Amino acid sequence: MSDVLSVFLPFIALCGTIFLCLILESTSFGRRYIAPIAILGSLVSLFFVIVGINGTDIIYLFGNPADLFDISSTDGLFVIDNFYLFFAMIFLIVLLFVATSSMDYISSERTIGVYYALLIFSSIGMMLVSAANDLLVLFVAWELGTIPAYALAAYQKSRKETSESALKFFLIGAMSSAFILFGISLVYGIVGDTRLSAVVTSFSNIADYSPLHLLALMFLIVGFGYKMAAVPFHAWAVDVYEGTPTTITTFLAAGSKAMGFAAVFRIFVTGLTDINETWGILFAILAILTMTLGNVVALVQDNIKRMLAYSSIAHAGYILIALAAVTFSPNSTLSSTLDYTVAEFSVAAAQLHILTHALMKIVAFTVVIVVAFSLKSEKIEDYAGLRKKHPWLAIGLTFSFLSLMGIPPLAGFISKLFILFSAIYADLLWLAVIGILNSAISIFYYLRVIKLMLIDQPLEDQDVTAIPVDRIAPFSIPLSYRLTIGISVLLIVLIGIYPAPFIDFALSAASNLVP
Amino acid sequence: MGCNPLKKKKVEDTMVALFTFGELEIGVLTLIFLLPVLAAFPTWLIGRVRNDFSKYFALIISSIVMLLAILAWMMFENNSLLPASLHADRTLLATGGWSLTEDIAWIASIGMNYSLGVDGLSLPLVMLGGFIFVVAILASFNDINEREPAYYAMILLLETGVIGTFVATDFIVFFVAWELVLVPMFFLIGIWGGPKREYAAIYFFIYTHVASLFLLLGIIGMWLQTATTDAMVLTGLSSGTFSFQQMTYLAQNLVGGFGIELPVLLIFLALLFGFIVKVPSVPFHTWLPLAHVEAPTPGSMILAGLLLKMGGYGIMRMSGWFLPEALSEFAWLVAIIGLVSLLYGSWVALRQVDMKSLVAYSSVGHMGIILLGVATQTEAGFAAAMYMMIAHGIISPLMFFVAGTIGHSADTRDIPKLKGIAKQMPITAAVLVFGSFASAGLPGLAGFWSELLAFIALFSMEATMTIPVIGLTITGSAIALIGALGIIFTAAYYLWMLQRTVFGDVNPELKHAHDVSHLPQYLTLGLLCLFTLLLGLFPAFLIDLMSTASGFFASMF
Repeated sequence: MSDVLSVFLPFIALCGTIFLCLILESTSFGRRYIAPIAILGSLVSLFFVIVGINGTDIIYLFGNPADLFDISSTDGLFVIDNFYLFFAMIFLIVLLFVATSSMDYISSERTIGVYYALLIFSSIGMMLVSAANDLLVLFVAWELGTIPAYALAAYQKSRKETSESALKFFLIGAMSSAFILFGISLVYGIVGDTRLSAVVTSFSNIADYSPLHLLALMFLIVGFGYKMAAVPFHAWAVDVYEGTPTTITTFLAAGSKAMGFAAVFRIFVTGLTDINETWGILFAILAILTMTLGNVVALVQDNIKRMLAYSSIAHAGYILIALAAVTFSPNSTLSSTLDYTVAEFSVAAAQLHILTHALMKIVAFTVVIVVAFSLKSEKIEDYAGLRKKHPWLAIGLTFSFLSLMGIPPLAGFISKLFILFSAIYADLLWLAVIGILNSAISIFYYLRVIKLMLIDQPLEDQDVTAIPVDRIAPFSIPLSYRLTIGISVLLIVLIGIYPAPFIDFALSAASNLVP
Repeated sequence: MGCNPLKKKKVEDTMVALFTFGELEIGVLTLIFLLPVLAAFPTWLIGRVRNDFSKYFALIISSIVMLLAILAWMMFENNSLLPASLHADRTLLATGGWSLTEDIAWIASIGMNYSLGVDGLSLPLVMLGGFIFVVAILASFNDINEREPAYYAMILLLETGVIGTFVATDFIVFFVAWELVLVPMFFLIGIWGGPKREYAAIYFFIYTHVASLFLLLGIIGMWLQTATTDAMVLTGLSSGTFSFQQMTYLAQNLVGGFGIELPVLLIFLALLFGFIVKVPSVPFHTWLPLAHVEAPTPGSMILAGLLLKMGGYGIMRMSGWFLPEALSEFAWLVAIIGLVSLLYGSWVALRQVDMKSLVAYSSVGHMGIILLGVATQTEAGFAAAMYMMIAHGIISPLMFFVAGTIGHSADTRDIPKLKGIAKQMPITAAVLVFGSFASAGLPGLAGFWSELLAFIALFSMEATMTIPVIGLTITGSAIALIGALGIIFTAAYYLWMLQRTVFGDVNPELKHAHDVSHLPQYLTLGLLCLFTLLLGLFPAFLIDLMSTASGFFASMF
């Protein structure tokens, strides 16, 4: 009973926050309390999730129609394990930072209550995706995570590019949902059931596969692939990331993408496949395409949001390396000797990278927001000499980029190390080498921005006709952005220096997930 | 002196309390390793209050680190000046172990520890590091005039990276320190460098980072080698490990060491590639002249004096301690790379116009001797390599400082334009002559002993090296004979350079050139010259210090 209650606490906190936000929206005096309450709500919810980590038992919810509080039936609609808790932690951290940085970003809009309510709704959906133990529940949660995001992407109606990108996001998103639904219906047609445990049994042996089995899996991969922004399903991401309000870009790049991975892990690792090489090769090819295209195209971008969007695609590719390693596990020569199997290790690596990638992107996009306010520009060349105007922003972005490059001792290094580790562990040396070469390509575009910010002179100094820097009215950075950037940078450094608790958590989550 | 015994006891107790840190198990090496990085940010902050503060603060911190390095040396040597409780445990040194060790679990689930230690191989380099950073900061006093707070913060960050590479006894700590060096060096070249600094900085960063990534693959490969069933029986662990201590233990106790199967050879090549880019050896040397020419003078001093030594250290550590069988298999490759570097570096140095570039190519040549020494797989060869690292670590900063000073005061470093500088800047010219002779291996100066030892080792080398596929067998004597050409080139380019620059009539364009005149400059020159001379006169000091390490190295073959 109390176990069940502790599962519900984070959701109760979030729902209460939504309720309060909408109520306060209708009053004139309460409107300015909306943002703090939303932040507080996500903080409380995050607290409940972290408190819940200690339990190692797996809880299944709603498996027994006769007894709502029976938590042992593996047929349950939801499964509450460390895997869910890890992703819930990621989603709530993202929500927390996006809510904080939205405080000053959205304040001029009239309906901030709705904005925060949508944000929280979407986060609830994402959390439910990572807990789903039934394909239909997964789909419903998926829609709950996605549909509010459509509205959020269109939130600044006045901007022309926002409407365009929001429409694009909606059309592509609707199509990918259709793919997923079609895949699920095919699975139901084959198995006659949507519970994961039943589906797994039917899909457990590749020798029994009919063409329909393969078709169903293909539809699911394509549907999830859109959300993960894996090549060749990535094209929407760049335009959408560029056009949407930047806080929502953070939300999409850090949160929504993680939801795609959570779903893939739930379905593909727990079972839809007979885990073997065929699938491994497929994921490996996806990984190579995704990271190579992301890194190469990012080289030639002149808009920082587009560059970050491509970098985000490239990082999805790195995560897919780990996914490929999962499916190779039985072939590894070493899997018998160690505490953790290759699959567990790879899933943990991927989760860790999703977490660190979220933090790095939060820093990067928040800096982009502030610079866009201060310099009225999102062009990379306008970052020249940023250190003179905003030394702390320049340092923060440098930390984020160094971490994205994988320079120790920052968080990005640890997670990239684990991904390479998992690839080599699974005897995929060639994939690790390709990952390394990609990592080398990526240095160019990150280092270019760092060089512009910290080494070069501002454009005004080079152009004598422009107004000198010191005559422009100083732009003071609002506290909300300072907190977002500062705390995330601290977390990046902290995870880099003392990763053990995060890694242990990820490993225990992985061993919950992998059968 | 009638020292009060009670008072003496109290002083001892305080020292013990200061440098053992009781239950925390943090020792002097952690202080050496982490003090600079912890001081980097404060340096920047107080530099924002007043520019001058940052340089004095950085000097103080680096001096403390040097004193701590000397303390570590005294502890390591069980010096009688120290109380017995501070003496290091030397029992493991003979079997390739470490002393002054510290070991704290970092990521327990994959056997990653924060572990430090020193032995006869790394301790001299730690001391060299502490020394060169003090000298480089002194050299910066007159050289660096803009954005000083950030500059000194970067220097301190660099110090942690460089010294961390030498004291780490866990491969991941090693790699973290190894990579940490890139970021401050990138900024040092990129912000305070010469006209083509941005290109040079990015070139340096990408070149060495790519090599480091292959190094990382090799490190992960080593971990997998320690995770086999046989190895885990020996280590008693339930997973692989990154610990140097365990890897050395396995290299000695597994039947046939780590063996020479394909994966091990691939690991050896990956590690070798990662290291020789840093050394750097031909054909992976192209970043070095560019970086040296563009870097500010103190940056060049650190780059030549210490960063190159990281690569050499890596090769010596890997080949003697972990993969001796693979080294025997690839000795021909290491020897040929070393030989080509020696010949090519000194040949190309002959044609250099920029004085810094000449010294840079001379570094490529001298670093080749390290590879030759390792390839002999003997005690003398190892000692030659080790001596070259320390001697070159002192002489090349001296040469770069002289070249930088000349460039600063004469506004050019082009050898054809410099003429008769002995008249304009007598002290600088005298030191230039001294440094060139030391570097060319004049007996009585530091550079001589390593060349002598290297040739002794090559001539007395018994093992033969067979190049697979073409089946050509090369002997140590053959390499020594060809290598002697490199030594002749070395003498030639230095003498030719001296003849063109130091003597003759003064170039009228150089009338404004002035000699060194500030105390920090005198100190820099004096300290570096002093140690060049001392190491030349008393080689036994260094050779004794590393005798356990070189003995162990030879015993692995």
